[in-house]
Amino acid sequence: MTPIGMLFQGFLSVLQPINLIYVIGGVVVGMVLGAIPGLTATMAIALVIPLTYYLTPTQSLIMLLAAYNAGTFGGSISAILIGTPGTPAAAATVADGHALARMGKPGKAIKTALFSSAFGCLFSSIILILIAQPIAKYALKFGPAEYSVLMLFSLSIIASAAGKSMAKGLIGGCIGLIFGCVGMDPSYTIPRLTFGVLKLSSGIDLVVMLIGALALGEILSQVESVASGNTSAQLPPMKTKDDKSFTRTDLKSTILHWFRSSAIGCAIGALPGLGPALACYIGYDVGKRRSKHPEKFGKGSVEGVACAEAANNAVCGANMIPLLSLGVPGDTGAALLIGAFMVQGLTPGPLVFRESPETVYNVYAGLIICNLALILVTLLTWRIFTKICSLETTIIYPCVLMFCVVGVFALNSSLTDVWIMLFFGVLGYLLKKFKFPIAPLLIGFILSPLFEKNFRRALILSNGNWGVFFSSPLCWIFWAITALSVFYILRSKRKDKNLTDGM
Amino acid sequence: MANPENGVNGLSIKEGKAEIGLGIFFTIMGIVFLAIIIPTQIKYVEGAYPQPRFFPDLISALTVVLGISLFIQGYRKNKANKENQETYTFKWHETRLVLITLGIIIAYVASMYFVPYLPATVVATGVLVTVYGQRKIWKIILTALLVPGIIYVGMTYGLMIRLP
Amino acid sequence: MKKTSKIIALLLGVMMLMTIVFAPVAGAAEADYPKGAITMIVNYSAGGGTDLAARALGDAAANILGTAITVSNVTGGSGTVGVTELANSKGDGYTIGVATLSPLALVPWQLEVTYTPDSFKYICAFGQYGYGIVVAADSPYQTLDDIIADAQKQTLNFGATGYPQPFTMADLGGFTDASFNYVNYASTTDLITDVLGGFVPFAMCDMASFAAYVESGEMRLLASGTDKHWDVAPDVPTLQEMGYDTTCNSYMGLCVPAETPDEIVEILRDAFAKASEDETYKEILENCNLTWAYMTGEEYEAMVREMYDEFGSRLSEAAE
Repeated sequence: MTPIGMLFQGFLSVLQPINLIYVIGGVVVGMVLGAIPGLTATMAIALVIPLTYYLTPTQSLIMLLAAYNAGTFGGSISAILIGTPGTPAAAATVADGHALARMGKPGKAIKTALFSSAFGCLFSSIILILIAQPIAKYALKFGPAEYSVLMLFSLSIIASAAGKSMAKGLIGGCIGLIFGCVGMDPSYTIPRLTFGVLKLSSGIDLVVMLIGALALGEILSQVESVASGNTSAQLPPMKTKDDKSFTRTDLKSTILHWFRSSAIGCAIGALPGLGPALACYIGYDVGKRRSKHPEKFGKGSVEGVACAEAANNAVCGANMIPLLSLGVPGDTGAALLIGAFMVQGLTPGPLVFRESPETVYNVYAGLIICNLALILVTLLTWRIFTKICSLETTIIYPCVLMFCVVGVFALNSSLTDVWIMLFFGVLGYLLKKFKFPIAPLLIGFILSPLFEKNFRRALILSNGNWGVFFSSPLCWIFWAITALSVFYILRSKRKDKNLTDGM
Repeated sequence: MANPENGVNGLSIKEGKAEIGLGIFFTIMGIVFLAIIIPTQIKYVEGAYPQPRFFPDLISALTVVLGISLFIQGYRKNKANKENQETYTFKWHETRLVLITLGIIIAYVASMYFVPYLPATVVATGVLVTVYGQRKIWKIILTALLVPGIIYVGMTYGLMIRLP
Repeated sequence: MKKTSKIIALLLGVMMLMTIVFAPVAGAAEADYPKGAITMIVNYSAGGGTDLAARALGDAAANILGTAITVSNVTGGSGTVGVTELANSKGDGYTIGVATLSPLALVPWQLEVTYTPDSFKYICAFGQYGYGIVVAADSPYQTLDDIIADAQKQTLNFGATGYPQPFTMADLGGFTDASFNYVNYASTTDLITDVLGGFVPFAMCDMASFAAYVESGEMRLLASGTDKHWDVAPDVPTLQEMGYDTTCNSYMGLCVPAETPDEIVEILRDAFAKASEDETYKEILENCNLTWAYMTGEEYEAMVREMYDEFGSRLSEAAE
């Protein structure tokens, strides 16, 4: 049967009521867990997998994928409504999303995030279905040297995200880089910077740090306004129809961003080892540079939300590219899916096309349908979330704090993680107070281990020959992109300086 | 935006001065890392290339350079036009609430080494809600019982995670 | 202000009361063990091979013991954080944990841990990790001899996710005068992509993760590090068959804190011995490409102690 035929069969089987129930169930579970700060989509998958023993392969896989996709979107709900990201993937959505909510437009923000996320995942799913094989083969050409140069490019994003004060932004980046070094040395299995604490020898978890610095830090800042006697709901009500909906004008301004960010998300998802958190920052940054209104980014720009959300959900579909064609997961979420496959007796990788092609096409269909389910569920329920978040601040903040504590604890059943979160909470609060941008901190933290381990591995494998970083065409391409990126940053800084000097 | 209030009600620092202070702080931190923290925390491995210490050393050195740069930036701002600068304010009664919140949460997490999750959370939630200014008793009790209850049930039976 | 402090005082009083009420009560009698749910601490993350196997075994044992076994994943420190938590748990029989060979016998020599092999009583070993030497399908090496020949001329890099694999390669190097350089990969995924992409010549790795690639033809198995042949490549010899007296094995085992009463340990040993024969459990093991193996508590303990000493001496040799 031709691929189109099989895909059609896939749709037919996924659209059966019983399977649809699992898709919708997955969407609901994922969205709720994603929206709660402290619980993540990956965690949802990890905990649901044992429950899928008794389901058919199709049912378990589409449910898990729906949960993963919905979870990545769900993080943006709390990012928008409370200012704290529910999952690392929503970190870049906080600035613009919450600003929009404060302007009385939470509906618009949520819907933008929703449609962007759905678009991102649909885009990457279609790419997955059409050209998974060649992309996967291509992704294999990325060795340690290529990854290192790619990371170098990503590090330049820190400079771009620094905003007004380059020095402050770069210092933030350095702080993040140093914290990323905590843990085991990438090559010699000796602990680094762990101060004797055993838990730290496996490093600081991104979620713990993110919830601490962004969520807790944000809450502590907002607590200040509570002290000033501000106990009423802090989101102005939505007045006009425009505030609640995603209009044609919005669509016009975001559609290009959607394509661009989804492509970026696809590229990052297809490369094993990166993840949605990195994708959202890169998507946001590139979108900002190419937008006609870059000054609005960070202050309530619909385009900003669109870029970040399209990129991070594109990773969901793109994760499956290396998973299905090579058996290599794109990030932790996909790695857990390997477990789900194995429990059902299937082996992810090229074999699965021979062993059980119907399952593969059902998964494809499931990926596409779960986006529609996500749109449906969200459009029906988003007002509930808004109502919950407009309770009095005296009630909301303690609840969110409790959720953060329990969520971080539940990750690894570890109170040490909660202490680490508190530490980063204080750090995030102080950084906010002194107007340091937080994004460089997070980007530095994500990139530090990625860059260092690939850099050192490249040197070890080439026996100390630095030429390895120039040895392949891919390396050259990334060097060129990095140079361009730095050039543009310097040029825009000079432009800003000329503007202020001229005043 | 808040007006700068000096003295009794809080602390406010002009951007220029703040940057001087921060610049010094980070320069010193970078040096401390290079000289003390990294050598004691990371072993020196024979024949390793590059060293485990290489990257952290690089970052600390960079921090020192950036700290100095921030210091210079702040110094210049301080000398120059003072009106275009931002002010960082720490109003005492705001900061007090933040510290109280932190104190409560620290006590709460510490208590979980001895006390099971549910009672600790009920108490902590209740205290926090009250401290934030909630006056209606029924709201305090309802929140303090309902939210931890939901979390407990959801975690233990829904996600099957054992809480302390 | 006064009202707030009154309320706070009241709540603090309630908190103190609850602390007293919930304070640990003396342990119940062991006679009707198990009376309630047992917690199993798994020291690796949920969804991974070890976790799936442990959960399956737990389900089988739960049916035999007549009580629920809930899994708690406590990860970190190359598997040591979960083991540490197990060592610090109450020895009342309601906390058991997975303790694989590596964190018991090997990692204590690399990281500061608070437990020793004496901190536990051993219930059984229920599975085995097997290792093998693999290369990419398009690699020039067709047999292990090719690799050795190359390594005799110049130092050859190989990838592995940790010990004890490098020890086996060092042994091999010693037997044949070949020289190998161990490149550490913390993540199996990175190792897989680098082998497939040709960035590292070969890898010595656990078969659970790699069997799928050998089966699909993307990788080639050159030698098996254990004492059996692998289903995915039945013609490939083991290291011992090729004349090299070295193997590479690690085990998954179950332990309880040392203060657990012996009667309870016996009950658990019986239950898990029966559970490891369960068909569903064996099936899941096979799906995860893990090898079924069973060792009694005493056998596992003896092995752990033996490897503990051996790793200790080898690691200090290697450091010189």
